[in-house]
Amino acid sequence: MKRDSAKELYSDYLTGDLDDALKVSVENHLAEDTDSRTEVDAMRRVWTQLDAMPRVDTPAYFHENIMSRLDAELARETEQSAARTAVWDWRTLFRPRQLAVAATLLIVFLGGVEAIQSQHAALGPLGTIYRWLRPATPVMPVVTPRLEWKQNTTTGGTLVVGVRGVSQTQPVHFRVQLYGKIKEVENAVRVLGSGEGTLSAGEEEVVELPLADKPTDVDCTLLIMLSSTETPNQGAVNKVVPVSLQPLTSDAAR
Amino acid sequence: MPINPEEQILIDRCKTGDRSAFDVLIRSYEKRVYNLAYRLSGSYDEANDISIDAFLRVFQAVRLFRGDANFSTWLFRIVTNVYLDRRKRTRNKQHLSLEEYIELEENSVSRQIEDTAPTPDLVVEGHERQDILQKAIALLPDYQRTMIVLYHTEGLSYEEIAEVLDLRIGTVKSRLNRARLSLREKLDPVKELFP
Repeated sequence: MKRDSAKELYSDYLTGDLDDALKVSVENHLAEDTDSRTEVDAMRRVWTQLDAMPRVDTPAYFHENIMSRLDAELARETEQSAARTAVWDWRTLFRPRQLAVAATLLIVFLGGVEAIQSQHAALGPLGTIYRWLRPATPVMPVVTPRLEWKQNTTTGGTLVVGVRGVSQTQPVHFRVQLYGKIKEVENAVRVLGSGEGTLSAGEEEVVELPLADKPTDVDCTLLIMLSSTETPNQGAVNKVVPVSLQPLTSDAAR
Repeated sequence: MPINPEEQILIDRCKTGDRSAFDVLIRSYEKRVYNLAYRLSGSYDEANDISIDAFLRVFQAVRLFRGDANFSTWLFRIVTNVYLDRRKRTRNKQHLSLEEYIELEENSVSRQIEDTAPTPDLVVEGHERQDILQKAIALLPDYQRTMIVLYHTEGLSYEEIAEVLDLRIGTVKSRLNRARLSLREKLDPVKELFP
């Protein structure tokens, strides 16, 4: 056994932790190597002294000092806690971190409600808040216009447009507008007549447009604009329904 | 080793912030803690500060003590950490040159303070043997010193030292062996005092 290898085993040799084979190897090495034997003996003596090192006494008032430091620490923590509580007021809510947290929660809430894809009414109070924060887009009805041309005895006549909504759950505002092409200007139109009303479920609303001539698809465009608000000019038009004037021509032909 | 039932009750009360329970608990450990701190630091004043800091940490962290290890082992770990933290701060403040070396035992890597203290033969005269031994211990790198103190002066087993220092038992054994050899070398100039 080499000296360096043996050195690694001295501790275990002195504690008796070596197995028999290694113990014999170390002892053989020590028997042959005087320096190693001297080192082990010295190590054993130091070891003995280490184990015999006396206990030192704690200083006077050691325990009292620990407890007073502990009390001071507890008092400091209490003061800090009280200070934190005292400075809390409503303005805390407007600190950047609190605002960020609130915004995150709102986004998560809205996203979650959106993801649920269920009737908001089923959400109870949450649904009320959600509707308040994000009003539902009304479902626009399918309209079935009825067209009629009433010829005046002298000149011109009246275009009667009967509008009936299908499947709407709430009243919907509608505006009927007839545009006529301006022959002198390419792609320009002017309003020949208009009327408006409110669609209720199952009832027909009639708009009458006095006109100089009987309108045709060649010269005119008839649109029905639906919106959820009674002042569509201030709000968005939710649906535009182009209406063909062909039935009117057929009627005339008939 | 199972925890003493009375000690367990005290620990449970400490977890609720019971100051009087803590008072009783530290009485049973303060002398050992102070001795460990003294043997590690080699200074009575520093041992006092380390002990107090360690007990404050214990009070603050006792709620986290799960009882997986002995309370004494957990406590000694805190004392050792307080000592090592203070050593690190002291080294940073004094801007001592650090010597980094790799200890090739079970792939462990350690950073240790450079030994710039006078060799033992310069401090021999006029000191008692125990003082010389204490000074020689102080010349060891931190982790060797910790090994020597925990094993020889505190009487911890390899397993307990492994828990305190969060090392494997094999690492503890090899480091302890190296620490003993290193200590013997430090004492070589005064070997006549250790017949």
